[in-house]
Amino acid sequence: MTAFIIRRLVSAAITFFLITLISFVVIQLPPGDVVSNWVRQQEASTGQPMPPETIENLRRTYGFDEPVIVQYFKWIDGFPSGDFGFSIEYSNAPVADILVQRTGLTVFLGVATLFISWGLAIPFGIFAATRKNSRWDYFLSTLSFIGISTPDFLIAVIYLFIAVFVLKTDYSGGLFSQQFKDAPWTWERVVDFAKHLPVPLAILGLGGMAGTFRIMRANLLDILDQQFIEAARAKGLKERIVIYKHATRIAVNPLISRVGMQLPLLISGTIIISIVLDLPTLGPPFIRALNRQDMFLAGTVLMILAIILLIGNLIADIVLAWSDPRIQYE
Amino acid sequence: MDTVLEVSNLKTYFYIEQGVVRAVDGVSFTLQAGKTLGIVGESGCGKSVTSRTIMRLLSPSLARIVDGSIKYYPADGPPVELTQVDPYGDRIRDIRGNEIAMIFQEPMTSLNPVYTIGQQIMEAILLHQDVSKDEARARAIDVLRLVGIPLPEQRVDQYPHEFSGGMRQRAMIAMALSCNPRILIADEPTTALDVTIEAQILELIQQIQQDNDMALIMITHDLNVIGEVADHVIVMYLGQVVESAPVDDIFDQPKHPYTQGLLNSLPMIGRGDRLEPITGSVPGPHERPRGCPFAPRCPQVMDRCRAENPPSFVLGPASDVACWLYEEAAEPSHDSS
Repeated sequence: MTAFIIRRLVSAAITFFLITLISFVVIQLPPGDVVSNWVRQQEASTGQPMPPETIENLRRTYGFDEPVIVQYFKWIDGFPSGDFGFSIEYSNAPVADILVQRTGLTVFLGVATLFISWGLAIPFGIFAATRKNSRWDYFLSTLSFIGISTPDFLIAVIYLFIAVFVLKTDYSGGLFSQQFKDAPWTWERVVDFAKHLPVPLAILGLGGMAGTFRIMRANLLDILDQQFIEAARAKGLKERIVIYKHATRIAVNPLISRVGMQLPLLISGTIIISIVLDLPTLGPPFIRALNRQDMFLAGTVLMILAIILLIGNLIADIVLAWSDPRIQYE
Repeated sequence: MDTVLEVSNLKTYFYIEQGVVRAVDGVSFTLQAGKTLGIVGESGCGKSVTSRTIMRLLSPSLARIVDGSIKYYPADGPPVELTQVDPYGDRIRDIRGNEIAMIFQEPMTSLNPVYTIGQQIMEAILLHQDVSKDEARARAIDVLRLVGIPLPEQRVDQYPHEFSGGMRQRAMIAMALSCNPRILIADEPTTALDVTIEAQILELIQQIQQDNDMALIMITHDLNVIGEVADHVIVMYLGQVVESAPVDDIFDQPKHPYTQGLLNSLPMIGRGDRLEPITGSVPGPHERPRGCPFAPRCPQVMDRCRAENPPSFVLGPASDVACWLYEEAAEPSHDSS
């Protein structure tokens, strides 16, 4: 097991290196660069063309006149000291400063969403599967179909509408009140944060629930048809023990392997919801950076997503090995 | 002789969208302690549904016991009418695995893949017996040794996927025997196994049966297995018992044309002549013939067979046959009920 984890860590490091390289290059592939985007913006606001020398100067100052591969190595050279480059879009602010709090909030929201959607989807899946073809089963399945086929951002708008106009909460988007937005962490800010949390968590959690519910229901129905379930009943076990100890235990395994892939999806997939709800996650700056080819910022976000994907998969593999003895890591 | 189980006129119907499937349609038999009843028939004749009805393992929303009775006679206490107990209740769960145990056709899928063999055997012991975990584990190792699993102290902590098919069936038998049941229902226990393993498993089951005075219901489509282990045989066709007789009579002088057909389609070493398969195939559940269920395939069919389903005619103290050919020869019914 230790050997397996070490081997996975080594391959994760290589994967990580390749992801940073490819994402850095791909962001720069479209014509133009961050400087030309910035210049166009300046020209639009001043109404005057910028002299070519000034533009060349800008490029030289930022080191954008060098080959992409040189820029790349200069970029990763700063990683050990916590320097992930700077963002032209955010007035030359260091990328690390822009992203550090957003990363924390994103991971927090992602993990909390996962717990909520699993905590609801698994019991509902068991409920529906053990009452197959009952009215409740049809009701939940129909609901999950609607959940899967409605785009996330639409769900976000609908839930927001319900939260504000039906349930009369005073939620108006975001995770903090105006005065706490850029404030340091104080007790008041934590309280404010906790007050803002329920609505976005409910929206994100319910959005991810439909798919997990369907997988759970289908898995459990498959398992309940197996011979060993009948054998467990023939032993004289209570139906509850047959369902939970013998069937559910196995039916959740595919969900565990899914979590590794779901975690970064939760984070990148919530970009639009984050924009709709004005959540300070990685989503909004990521979109902005991609639009403007702000490659240090975009590259760093992609890198963070890659790290989360790699960690998520590693955790999923380890948990799965513990949960399913048939899996052997040799 | 002690009767442990008495099934009479049992009818289990499945109510599905396409209609009613009469899976078990009037089955009767008596099971004695220490004896073996063989139930034989082709796929879909109702053998397995019969066994699951006795264990009350069928979902009540799907299968209904519409008629008949299943009387279980416990070692002490009054007889239990199994058709009347709640299939999810405490009474049937006390009996399941403890007094009536069952082994299944597919050893590869009969054990839960995520628990060790020991955990699964101990689960049954802890459920039915008032013992500590250590005692249960010792008992699990004992039964594994009893069923011939080498190094049971180590094997007890292994998972099913570390066992071969034959070893898994031995482990299943160990699990079934762990509480010393009075009745063992074996549903095609050797069908999925090699012939050499099959012989070992059958021998093992018989050995344990003799040691414990256990009654055995052996369900199989394989007449060779029946010849090997059974004392009494019932032959089923489309949910009905067409012939019931001691095992020697079944092989030496089969009465029902269906039994004769089964024997003629049996390959035997040294028998030079060609096999004679029964013509046609088992009709689907919704194409049940009006008269005798076997009439469309019967070589000796008469007009009456197509119109009227024959009752059971008594031919001897333990022999019945449901066929119009034997109406004349029949004795007055020995079972007037």
